[in-house]
Amino acid sequence: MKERTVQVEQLLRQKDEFIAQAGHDLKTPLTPIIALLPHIYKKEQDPELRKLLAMVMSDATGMKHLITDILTLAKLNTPYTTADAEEIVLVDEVEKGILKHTWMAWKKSHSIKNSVGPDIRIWMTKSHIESLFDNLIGNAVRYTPEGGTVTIFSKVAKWMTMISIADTGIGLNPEETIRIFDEFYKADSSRHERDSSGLGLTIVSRIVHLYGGHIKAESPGIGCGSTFTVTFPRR
Amino acid sequence: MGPPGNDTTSGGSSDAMERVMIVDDDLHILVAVKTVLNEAGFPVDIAESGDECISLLKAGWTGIILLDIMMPVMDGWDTIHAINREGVGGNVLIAMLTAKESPDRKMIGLQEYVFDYITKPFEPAELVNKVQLYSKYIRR
Amino acid sequence: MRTEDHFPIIIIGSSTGGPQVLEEIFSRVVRVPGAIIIVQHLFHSFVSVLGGQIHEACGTPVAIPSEGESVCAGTIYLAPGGRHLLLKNNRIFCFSDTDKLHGVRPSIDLAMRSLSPGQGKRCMGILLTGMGEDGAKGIDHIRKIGGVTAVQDPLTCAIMSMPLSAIATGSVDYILSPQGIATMINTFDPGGQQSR
Repeated sequence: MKERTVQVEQLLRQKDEFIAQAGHDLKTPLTPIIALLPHIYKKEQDPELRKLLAMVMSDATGMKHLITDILTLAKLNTPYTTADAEEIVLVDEVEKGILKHTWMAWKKSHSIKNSVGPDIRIWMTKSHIESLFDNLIGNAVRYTPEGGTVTIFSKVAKWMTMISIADTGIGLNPEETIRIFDEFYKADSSRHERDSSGLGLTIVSRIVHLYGGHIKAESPGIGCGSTFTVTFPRR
Repeated sequence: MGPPGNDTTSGGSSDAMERVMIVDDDLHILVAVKTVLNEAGFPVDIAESGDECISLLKAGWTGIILLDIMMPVMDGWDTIHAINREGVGGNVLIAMLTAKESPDRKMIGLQEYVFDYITKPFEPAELVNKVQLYSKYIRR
Repeated sequence: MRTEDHFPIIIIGSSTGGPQVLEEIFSRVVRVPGAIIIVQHLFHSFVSVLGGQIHEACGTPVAIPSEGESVCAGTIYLAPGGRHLLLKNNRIFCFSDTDKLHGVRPSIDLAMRSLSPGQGKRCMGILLTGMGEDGAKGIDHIRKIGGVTAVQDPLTCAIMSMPLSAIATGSVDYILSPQGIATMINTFDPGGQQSR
């Protein structure tokens, strides 16, 4: 039994080393691409070629984000990554998540409300909860047009803690509310922003499952906003 | 494509730009960094390994070193240890330029020798700004 | 004791990536509440240049203290390289050549932990970018004696580990961008009403 544990730990360590090496190997060829394209763009006079370069530069940035997200997902597959879990004050983490998107929200004249109760606590690692709110709040801001509202609230029942992020954004149709958690799925053509990898909600749902919880997306329909709710069992 | 040559030493004048050494085993990184920094007016010398870096330093090289971490045989940290052992680190400023998101425990004991930590891929404008900042510190 | 003797002490600890952040912070600092003591892990030949850069950024001269020197209000101090910096009775600088701690000397932990409980709420600990754990116990100590603690937002750091280690102690009051840290310094007024 002990030998099996040692074997499993060794395999997990090898997997981590593989991930670190893969990350390095993916980022290395991307580096001269990102470093040199602006240089070529600057020297290029032909407006047609400049347009092509601009297009390629945004693809390179998209690749950078994609690599980062894939590495995050790969790390999340490792069972023991909840080892650093600790008790976290939920309202503070939500506040931090909102802070990260303050600039975009201000640009779009959004109002973001943090209605999470001050004494609600959750058991998670800091980096996981950060990814959770970064993605959920980021999506809410991204897919809500000017002047909209994003509200984060939570509820505690006997055996579980529920956190909801509700927006007044472009909403989802019934099929999308299920498929939206699939890898690389983006709900419709209006959502193809190159700077988003399509993995955000997959990462969120993996994190939620790691802690024994579940996530669901609800929407009255297209144009009527969405609400994402994550539920965690209470310790 | 062979490695780019080193820039010839210009006469030391007070408005000469600081020399930069890029230490990396990847040819394309060497070309990319040299292109970006040459464009901004910095003379750039290249070293494909920790050993080549030490050789240049022993020959009297001074300036700003951009040092990769993951290199075969001698990694970035081994290189800093060697610089200290050989006593050639008196007039250099070292910044790591690496694909590693965060350093591992091999960096313990070396914190004071590492002025900055830049992750790849980097935005060229960001690299130029940083080298301009480092110049203020290395200039005497 | 005169009221001037109760001036606050702010200790800023910083490592790899620090000089740039310090310049950014001090370019926005308009007020030096009490004494500010900076402990930056840095190769010795860069220390005086860093002092000059901070001076240029905020207009207040930066002193590199020596053994036995008094801590004075309204002054910015920068620890010299290679020796641990400690405070005696919160008012005198002392130096020590004991072993490196967390692989560094000066150590931020030793500097912050040399603050005695008498300083109470009139102290602030700030931890910036850096590798390793130096400063985590220092932040914890400042919190426990009644002071205010802040770390640089890990996402704005060249290296996140030092702020993350401090956050893990549970003793961090604020996680701030460099601009936010400057604001905290400008508005630090532990004796009176602090605008937060």
